[in-house]
Amino acid sequence: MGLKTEDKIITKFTEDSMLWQALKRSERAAYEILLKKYYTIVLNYGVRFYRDKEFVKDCVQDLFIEIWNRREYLADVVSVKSYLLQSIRKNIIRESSRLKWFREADKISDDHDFDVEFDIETYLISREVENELLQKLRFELDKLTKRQREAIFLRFNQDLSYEEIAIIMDINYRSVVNLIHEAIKAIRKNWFAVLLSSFLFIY
Amino acid sequence: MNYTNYNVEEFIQDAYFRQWAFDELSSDDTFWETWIQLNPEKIKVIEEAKSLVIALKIKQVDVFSAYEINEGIQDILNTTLPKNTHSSFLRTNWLRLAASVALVFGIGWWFMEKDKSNNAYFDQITATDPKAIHTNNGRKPITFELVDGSKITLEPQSELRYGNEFGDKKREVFLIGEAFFEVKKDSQRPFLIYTGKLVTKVIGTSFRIKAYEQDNNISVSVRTGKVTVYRQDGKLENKQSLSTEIVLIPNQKAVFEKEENLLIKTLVDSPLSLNDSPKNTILAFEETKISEVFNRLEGIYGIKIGFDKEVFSKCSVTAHFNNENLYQKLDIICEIVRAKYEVIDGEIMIFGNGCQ
Repeated sequence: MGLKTEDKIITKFTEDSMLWQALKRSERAAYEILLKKYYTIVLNYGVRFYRDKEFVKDCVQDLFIEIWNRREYLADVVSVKSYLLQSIRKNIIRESSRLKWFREADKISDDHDFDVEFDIETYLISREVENELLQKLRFELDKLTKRQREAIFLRFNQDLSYEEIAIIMDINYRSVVNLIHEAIKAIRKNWFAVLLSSFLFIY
Repeated sequence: MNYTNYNVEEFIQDAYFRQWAFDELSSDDTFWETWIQLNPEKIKVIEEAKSLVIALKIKQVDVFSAYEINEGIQDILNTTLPKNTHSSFLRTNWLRLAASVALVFGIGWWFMEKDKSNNAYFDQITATDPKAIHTNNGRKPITFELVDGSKITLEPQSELRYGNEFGDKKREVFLIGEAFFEVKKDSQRPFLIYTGKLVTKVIGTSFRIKAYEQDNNISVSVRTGKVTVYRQDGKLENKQSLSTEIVLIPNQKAVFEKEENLLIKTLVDSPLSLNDSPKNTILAFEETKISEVFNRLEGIYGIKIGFDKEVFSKCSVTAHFNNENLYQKLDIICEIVRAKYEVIDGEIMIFGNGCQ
């Protein structure tokens, strides 16, 4: 059964890289398929870094246009998806800090936001839970760093491998493993106790 | 796959397991139900993992409507359409007709415009105020100040123009040839320099632009501050494409190849020390770790030096530098540690196999 998933991943990669090769040979159809397949994903990832929708849309448009314009010079990539996410991440961080620079004269920072909220946070907020354990859990969730949130997003929301996440976030494999492990640990610390004590039945 | 020894975290990270936890598997896939029956001792682990998968579910934000997404995709497809197949997306005959009429107009306009400088802004300037022209036909550079306090050193065979409104709301000039700019800082009014298809945008900084008409490239070299350079495609009012834009820091240079329409980032020909202090900074290394050596050089020239810290971890350098330029210093260091360097995208990359 597990094999099933792996097979899926392999076809996912080979299909994309075939399209990528076709794109490099200027095949319009391949470009169109990849564009339609990833446009929304790239857009939704980008908007988590920068709240200005139009700005993000422009960045994504520029990225895809550049890919078409430079198609003959494109490098071979292992995963098209991680290549796209990596590129948009870089571009948005660069462009938004540049904008910041134009506004604030000579201030530049590499610090960027990553906007992720967990469903469970909304649930806890909406119930105005007073249970101490739940408060603790919320506290742990609040403590997750932007990078942890981003790693969790890529891992669990986008189903990417550690290798792919490392490429996208431009950090090494070990750091990705640690980021995710620490995040899970932090949540897990209080989660099970919450489950047992608060009738919060989610099945 | 054998799940018998999986712990909570491993289950959480398993895509197949997550699908089950989210109830996304097809109803005839009973793998997990069966597995739990066969491994009753794992029920606690499974339950915790399942609840955590749900706890880690990220809130979906539907910021973009289906309409916006569709429109975005169409925009990209239209923009990237190969020029000779322009009509392929025009479905109806009357649209085709309209397009061909527009095309005829377009070609006519192009023939009329093509002999001019092909730069809308240039025409605008000459039209509004043909008097604001500084020309240097002499043999020596001339230096003058603009109303905003910026200092320009104009090289021979060069010309700088600007409009009447210069300094009021915007600071925009047009350059042919070569000039060194020391731009007065003003965050409200960025200083823009138009050179053919290339636009350079700054707030306050010093840099040199070479844009002789007979040369096949335009270059912008930065001495201090930060400078943005971008291509100007088509008409002025067109939105600039962000991807054709690069940001330069001191000692970096942008080169625009006119024919290939290519904009690349590299380093200036002779990088200068960032401090105003003497050119010949004396540098002495005695059995110094290579990471420290590169750190010092990065500090002096403000240029990033990339290398594999692990590969070069055992390398150290003993060398004395006087007035060698950066490239000579790098040659010597690379010789010592048997490495090579390359300038890539305005940064230096060191390649090698490390030291014993």
